[in-house]
Amino acid sequence: MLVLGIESSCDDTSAAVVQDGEKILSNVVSSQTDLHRQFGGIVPELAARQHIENIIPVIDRALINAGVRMPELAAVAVTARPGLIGSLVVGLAAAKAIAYAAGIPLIGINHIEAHGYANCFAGLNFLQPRIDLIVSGGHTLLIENLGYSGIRVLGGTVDDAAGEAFDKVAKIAGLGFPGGPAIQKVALTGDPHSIPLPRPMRESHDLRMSFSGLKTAVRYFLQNNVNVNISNLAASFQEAVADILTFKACQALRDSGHKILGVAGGVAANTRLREMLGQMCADLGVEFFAPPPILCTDNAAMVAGLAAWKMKAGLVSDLDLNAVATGHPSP
Amino acid sequence: MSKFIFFTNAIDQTVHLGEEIGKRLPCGTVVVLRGDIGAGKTCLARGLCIGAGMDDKALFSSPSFTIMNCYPSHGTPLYHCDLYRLKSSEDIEDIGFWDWINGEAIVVIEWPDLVLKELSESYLLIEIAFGVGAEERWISVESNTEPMVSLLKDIAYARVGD
Repeated sequence: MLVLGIESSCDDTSAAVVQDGEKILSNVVSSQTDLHRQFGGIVPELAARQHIENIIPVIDRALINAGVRMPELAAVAVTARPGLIGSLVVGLAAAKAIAYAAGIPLIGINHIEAHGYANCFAGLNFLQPRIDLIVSGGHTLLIENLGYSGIRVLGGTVDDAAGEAFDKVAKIAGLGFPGGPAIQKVALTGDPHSIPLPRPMRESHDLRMSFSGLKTAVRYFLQNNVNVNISNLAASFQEAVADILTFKACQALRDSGHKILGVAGGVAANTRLREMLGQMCADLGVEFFAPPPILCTDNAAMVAGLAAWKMKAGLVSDLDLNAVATGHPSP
Repeated sequence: MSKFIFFTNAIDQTVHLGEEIGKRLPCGTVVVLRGDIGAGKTCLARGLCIGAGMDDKALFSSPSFTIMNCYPSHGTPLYHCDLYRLKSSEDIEDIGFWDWINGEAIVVIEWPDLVLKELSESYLLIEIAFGVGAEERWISVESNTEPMVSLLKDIAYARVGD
């Protein structure tokens, strides 16, 4: 069963073809391809209008790379929530048009749930109940994932997302953009225990997290210690973020009794976080999954993959499916 | 233009001030939040949204990446925007920003500089500055409309009893 997936909830336009929910035949992401050559220019990183210009070439490329023609598709899946409305509607309109023209089912997908599915390409069985830690620039959530029964938000940040904290701290420290890779690189040679940065809300005894206070602490530390070794600062900051996330993930695993943890989202590409989560899971006797980097950031393969299971469960959408900006990430 | 200055000594106090303002905001109000990274804009915005009646506090998070979060509320719809990542007025147009300023919601805008000139002047302007102590903040709140000014007086006097 071949499913075409479309994702346009934020900056990137992406399309993918996935077979039976497990085999990725193609996964095209606008910022990560040479698409701009087709237009003779650079694709700007942010502008909803860019989705309109990208969407058809990206879908075409995904079908060509997969060697699949539209009539062979069993369904078309699309991110319907949450995201920026102006961006979501572009993907939705394209998906509806394809569903209608090809006479195949349309499947609306929740972006957060799709992120968690990335680990199903890394050996995780979709049906196994688990905890998903979704960490990106826009989201930081702990989720109980019950396969067919969907997802339930257990906790998350009360202010900045973890990825946002990386970007803003990188900016404060003059380390460039994007912040995640920049900090990780500089942190390699630093001592993660050299600067006692705070762990806001770590001991809150629930699954809420906070990263804005940590960001502010870095700012003050820099102000008061002008000659600080930046590698030490980056390493200490990265350690603090990874520590908070690992501590809360551990609590979610203990509270729920689930024996599987999956991490996903852009920050899941961070090596120190993966290391720390992996160690914690090993200590708890919990199985740990983390996707390859291309499947951490926004992509359509996760959308097409999850859709295969939604289809099996009969969760097909009507053609009047609407884009929803935010709200509970429930299907 | 009337300007009120509030002082807070802790994040909780900043959130609380936001709640006090938020619960008095009429539908259609646009609140713009200025201040450096780490000043506490998002904390104040959290207070504003809680005060204005968002249904589920757990849904609140920073829109720096998502650009706009819209929170269900039992009263007025709440739009929480952050223009931090946008670079030009073209970006503002592209994301459909002006559709959100429709008088039918309370709109909170962080990093508003790209849109300040074009917003009608009836917005509530909040600026957060760092104080001397680590958690001290000076929070100035300005408005030029009579209802908003009396709302601010209300909060200023209410705080005398705190």
